[in-house]
Amino acid sequence: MGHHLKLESLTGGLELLTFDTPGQKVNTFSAAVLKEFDEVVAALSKRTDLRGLLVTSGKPGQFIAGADLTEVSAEGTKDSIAHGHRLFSAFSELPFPTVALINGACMGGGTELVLSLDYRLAAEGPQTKIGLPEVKIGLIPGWGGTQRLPRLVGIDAAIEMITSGEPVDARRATEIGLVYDAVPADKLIAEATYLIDETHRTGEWRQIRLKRSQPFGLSDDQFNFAFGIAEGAVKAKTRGQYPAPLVALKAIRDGINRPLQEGLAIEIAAFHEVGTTTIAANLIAQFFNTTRLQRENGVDNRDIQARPIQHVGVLGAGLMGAGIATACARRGVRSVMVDVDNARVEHGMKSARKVVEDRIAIHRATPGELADMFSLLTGSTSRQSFSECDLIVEAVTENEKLKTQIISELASVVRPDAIFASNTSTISITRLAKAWPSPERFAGMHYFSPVDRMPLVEIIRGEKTSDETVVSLVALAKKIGKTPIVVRDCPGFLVNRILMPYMAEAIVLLEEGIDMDRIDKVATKWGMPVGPITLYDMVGIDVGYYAGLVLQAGYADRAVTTPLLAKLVETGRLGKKTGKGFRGIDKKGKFIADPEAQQLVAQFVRKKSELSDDDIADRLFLCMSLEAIRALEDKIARQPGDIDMAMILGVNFPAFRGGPLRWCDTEGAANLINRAKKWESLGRRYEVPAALAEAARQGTRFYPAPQKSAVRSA
Amino acid sequence: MNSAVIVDAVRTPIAKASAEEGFFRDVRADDLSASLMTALIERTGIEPRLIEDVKWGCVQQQGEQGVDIARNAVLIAGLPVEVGGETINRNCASSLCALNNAAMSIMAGCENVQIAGGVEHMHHIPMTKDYNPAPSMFRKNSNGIMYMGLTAEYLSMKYRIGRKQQDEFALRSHQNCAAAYAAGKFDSEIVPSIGRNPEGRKRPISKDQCFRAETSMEALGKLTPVFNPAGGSVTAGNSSPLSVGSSAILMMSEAKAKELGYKPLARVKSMAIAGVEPSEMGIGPAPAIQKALRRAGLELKDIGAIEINEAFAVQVLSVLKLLGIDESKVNTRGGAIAVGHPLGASGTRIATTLLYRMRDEGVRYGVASLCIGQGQGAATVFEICS
Repeated sequence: MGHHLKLESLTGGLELLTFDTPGQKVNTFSAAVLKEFDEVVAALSKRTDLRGLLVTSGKPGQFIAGADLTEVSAEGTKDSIAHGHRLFSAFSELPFPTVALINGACMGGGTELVLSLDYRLAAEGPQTKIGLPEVKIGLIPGWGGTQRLPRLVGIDAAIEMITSGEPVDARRATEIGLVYDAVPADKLIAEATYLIDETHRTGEWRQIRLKRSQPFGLSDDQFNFAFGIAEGAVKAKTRGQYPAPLVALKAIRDGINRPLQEGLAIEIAAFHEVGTTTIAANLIAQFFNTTRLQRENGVDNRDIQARPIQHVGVLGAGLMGAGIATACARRGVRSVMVDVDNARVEHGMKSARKVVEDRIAIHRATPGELADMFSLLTGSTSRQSFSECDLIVEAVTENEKLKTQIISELASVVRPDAIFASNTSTISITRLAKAWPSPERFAGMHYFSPVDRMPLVEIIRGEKTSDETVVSLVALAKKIGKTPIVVRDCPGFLVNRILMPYMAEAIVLLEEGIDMDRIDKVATKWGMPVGPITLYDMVGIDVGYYAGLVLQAGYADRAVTTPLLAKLVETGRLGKKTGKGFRGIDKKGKFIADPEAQQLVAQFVRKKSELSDDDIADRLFLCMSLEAIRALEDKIARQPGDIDMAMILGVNFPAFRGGPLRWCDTEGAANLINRAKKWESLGRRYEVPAALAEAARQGTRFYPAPQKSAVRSA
Repeated sequence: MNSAVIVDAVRTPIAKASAEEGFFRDVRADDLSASLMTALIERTGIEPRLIEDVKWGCVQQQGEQGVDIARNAVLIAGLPVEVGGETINRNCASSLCALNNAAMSIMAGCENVQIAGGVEHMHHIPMTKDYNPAPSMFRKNSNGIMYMGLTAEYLSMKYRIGRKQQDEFALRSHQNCAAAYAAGKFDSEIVPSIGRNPEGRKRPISKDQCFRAETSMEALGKLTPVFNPAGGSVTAGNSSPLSVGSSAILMMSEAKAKELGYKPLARVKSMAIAGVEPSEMGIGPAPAIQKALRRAGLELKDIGAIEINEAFAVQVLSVLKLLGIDESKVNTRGGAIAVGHPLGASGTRIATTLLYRMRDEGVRYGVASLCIGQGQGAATVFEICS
């Protein structure tokens, strides 16, 4: 009996190998686990008395989560890659047929283990997912996945699974031949017994092994066409910013028409090509940040318990209010949205319906879920509906006077112990909290639009907000499927404070005669999903303008004024919502050049600057990153990872760059200082923050050197 | 002119078209076709590169049966890319026409070694899916011609064939089928195919799913007429069930068969197509058989074995009445009422059963024929190779 593995005899000369690491929710392949597997397989390889081996997991709903990511590092990885290959090759050569019984999530190295066995069976049901998600963290399958999967299911399904990183469910796995069949979980052993009996009768297992060890045998045309098409598709999807899918594709391509052993060697070389890149490190860091945020309670004291929030009242049935109420009801939290008249409430309820209906249309939700949501969601024009609520969230017009008035009015309607959260994106939480009888039960809860799709929620602590309030809101945000990040109160909070200097700099660049299309192109090439000018048109130029005013007031020393935006707002060019902004909108809703807007912009050009694309990128992203450093200095967020995650989740900052602070670490503090100095004369927004100067002096980074964390899995 | 011979004939067992219990409920029509082609190739040992074309019958050519399923199945089966694939549609006679077309091509000195067959997955792609006939077709015809059950009811009236006679014929079909199974008479033709066993496990299946050995006149008599509940006679019991299956035969010129050392089952003696009124589409086999016999220089009395597809009992009985023969030589191993009627597969399914009957019974000439929706009949006369 080992620590992680248990071997037991079944009837008929079969052995059942169960992988079950004690004290952990999931099984991962740590170095210790690999070692124990070695011993078990070595012993099994000498067993001439056995008729077959079944391999399963002792974790309910979890098969094997893959390699232990905490052990991914330059040198360590090299060893573990070679080790995994040795182990799985040994599995594939055991002197009797083998069957994997997959009940639950089977990911990465787990999938590569089952691929080295002769047969696979899946348990029916949504818990079974089989995937090779390595490209999502900038890696490629490194334990034979790029070679064994295509030999099993063919190139098309294998390329799709490996280059997208998306798992397949039991049904799809059966369709593509990844598993023999999906059966009820309690039938797995019986079915495996049948397979072993049958394969002994036909001798198929020996043929399978021979066939899978040989070149797959694509014709020249099959080969050239398939990989030509796949390469084009992958390039279109990754825009050249994520190299891993292309490297994985190359490994499949170079290995498929060779004997398996040669293919495996090709995979190892390809893995080392991506395994040590910054991009992989950035994506792995994001993975760890995600798991950390899932576990944290949002405050330093881990013992603070959340107050259960079972009933949420939302004031305002507009875009944000309806979105928040919908998000709650969809995840099983009773919610009521209140607005001043029936028409608005009805509109809010309609938009709630649309969220789920749109998901039903793409098979992401069922009509049952729609019914479930409406059983928990009500609309009302009476604030009395809030009387039983544990939490009130206000999402009314962004007007401090109005909000303050409403907050004090509501105090008399709701339970005395209710928590109040404001969805304001700009107004000081500390100030608003003064209108609430107990400011310790008051906080900001800033959602991003559209609420049903944006995962981030900023939880903003006012000066008096209690830990219990923060922990309760963090727990609620998680419950409704969001990623909460706790920040301290300051103008713009965290995300807008860091985003707005970048947005404002885009306007400054326009004023220096840089073409708007060029600005957007530089930003998207750098990795942003859309450029800043397009973003203005999408979110509303008025929204950008008023947010800018808040930041200008809050950071008067460095925030630039943007009279051009004022002019656009004044002339009714508010962006997409009014059909015109920096650009026009064609009938299909696409942005098109608008000479009138260009003329208007031209009036604001103060000077003609000669800037390279790199200059433009530095202007935009230095403004953003230097502000991120200042936010860290001001302790607006609790750690660098929170800032980077907030920017990735809140404004789609390119994940492959790891976030603004990881980008600083990648570029190096001294290097960034030199680049910032080039623009010093433009204003204090380019002033080097003390923390960056200190990092340059000490040769340190914002992120501590990688250390063994308690977090495991992937 | 070359002589076209059949070297081997196979079929899958035929499943109910049922999402709950059909044993092919999660097997695709294209995969099923490919697996049968593979089985035929393995059984005959034919070198795949010698096969020039695959002619495949299929009626509802959409979804998994769409975009030339013949060619798609060739690719799935991993046959050389040089092997062609053509999907053929003449409703219920599609695969008999695939066989006939292949024979014609061999006779004419065009494609020689060929697979002819067909498939229909009536659960995955229902018979009436997206069906949209032109109003202009119904200026002189009732749109009832599109409902095969109504044409069957019409035959019952026109040829005066009552409920009892139909039920007796249906019972005979089930009993003949059961007896043929008991005597192992389907062993040569059925290729065990992977499907779901009654417990839902993936297993090789080797027996048709629809026939009921235990059925009786009493049980059949209890069924309500489907198409005309008040006063009709055509019931689910005396009609063919919706089903799923595939059938295939390997054909080539007699000279090629000799060269490759095959002992063919039979040669194609003659073929015919005949049109009839759409309202009585079920009698199509009568003129088609007569036409084919004339072309073969034969008479009905020369024919030792007859397979007439049993779309409906009343329809076969009408054909027999028109031909002036009794049922003694007809469908002696059961017909579609018991076995099932996967539309695109039925033509080569009845041809397959006929060929083994001819072999087993030592019959020189046999004929296979099917009625065809909107009023046609197709027939093929085979002569045993000895």
